[in-house]
Amino acid sequence: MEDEKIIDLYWQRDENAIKLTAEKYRNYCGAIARNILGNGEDAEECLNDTWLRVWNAIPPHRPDKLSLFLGKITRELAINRYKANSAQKRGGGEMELALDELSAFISSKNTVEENIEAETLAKAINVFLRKQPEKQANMFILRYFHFYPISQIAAKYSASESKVKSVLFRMRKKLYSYLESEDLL
Amino acid sequence: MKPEKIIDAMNMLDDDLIEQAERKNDVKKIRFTPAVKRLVACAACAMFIIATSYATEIVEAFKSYFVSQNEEFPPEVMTDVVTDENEDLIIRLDGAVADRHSCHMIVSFISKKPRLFNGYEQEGFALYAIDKNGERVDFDDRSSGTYMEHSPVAKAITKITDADATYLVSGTFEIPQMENMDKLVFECEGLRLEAEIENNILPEYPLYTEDGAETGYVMTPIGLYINYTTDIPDEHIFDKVFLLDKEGKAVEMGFSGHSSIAKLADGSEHIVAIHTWSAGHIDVLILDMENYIGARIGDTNYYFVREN
Repeated sequence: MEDEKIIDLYWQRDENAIKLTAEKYRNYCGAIARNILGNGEDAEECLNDTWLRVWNAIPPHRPDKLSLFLGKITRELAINRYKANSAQKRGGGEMELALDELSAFISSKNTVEENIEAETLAKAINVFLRKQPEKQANMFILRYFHFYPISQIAAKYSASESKVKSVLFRMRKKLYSYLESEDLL
Repeated sequence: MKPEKIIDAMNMLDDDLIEQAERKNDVKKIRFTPAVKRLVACAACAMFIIATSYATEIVEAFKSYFVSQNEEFPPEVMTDVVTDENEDLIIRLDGAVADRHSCHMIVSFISKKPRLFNGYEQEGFALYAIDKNGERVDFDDRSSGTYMEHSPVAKAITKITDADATYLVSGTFEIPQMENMDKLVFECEGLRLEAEIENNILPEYPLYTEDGAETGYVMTPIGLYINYTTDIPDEHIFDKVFLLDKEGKAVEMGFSGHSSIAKLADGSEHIVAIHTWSAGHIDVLILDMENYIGARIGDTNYYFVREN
């Protein structure tokens, strides 16, 4: 069913909307959740939370693109769950690796304003990514938004894993320099 | 700043950026009107004719390099021919060169039957090396350019006379190095060509600063490479290289290449930047080092020492 019709069902408070959403987007959202949590049970619970969150969010929201709306909700819920799990030493998945990769550049400087608004930072990251070659920007997003394993990104771009690591390495360094130039680091 | 902040902020990425990254293929199908199709076809024909006439000279020189110049300059690794049971298809190696990180092979296909050559999609297409223990080692990065009568728009080298299709197959190793390899192997359609590379690695020319200081850069007739550790800043990643000719004049040089992080046996990480010289659509170029004295990388000139 088309997304527009599924969204209409939400607005009509028809519970079939949840069933149809789950059918259509289980794989997409499930991949994001599993990349972050690396744990089947947690990922499954995260998906159920996503469907509930969407039910509560539409209405009043009417997302332009349902898949991205769901993806962002899944990502946020999975990250929150990851943080809770980490406190109990139950981390796992690609999230931990991605944080390690970013920390090599980001946390090494302690001159950082910890109170920078996430929105300001997000705006800067958006600007930064738009200035990068498309392929490199895509690899960065697949790694740090979707938490794709390096091997999957390499397969998608028919590149070696070391090449993808190299691109990400350079992108992280560039991002660090850019944020520094914008006084965000 | 904690890295979590970056991760959290990325939840507010613009939707179009995420969509762009999620796109399964980076190529979108474009629908042309018949008039535009005719125009594109005419332009493609004209470009092909110009490119072919231009490329012929270069490729003939490239071919003669393998065929006739190997006595003067030793890098011809081998030539070989294999054929299938019915001799319907002959695959012939017209030449191969390698330095410590890169290799190029030119392979011609001669077929009795009409045949469509599809490059990577060709049945059993593979390029790899065999190390001195007889183990297969895959290249970290590989590319192939093809001349095909049915599809002349591929990243092309000009077809060698009498061949139905000619491939230029290139591979690069980050690590291990080619000197640890025994042979190159090219496989296609069940046929297998082997090139002995041991003792046939191209000569290397380490580059020095004007003051004679070592740099780690190494020039070869087919490229330039450098190994360095990751704790050194990004100084060896460059977008443009100039060659310095005999008069010391900087000549802009085309190249294709990449840099990668490689893990060594001791667990330490190195970056290996590998660039191979290229000349437009032919894609590779083999320099006569007699014509050059060094290279300009960034704003600095580097020189090699010629052994006389």
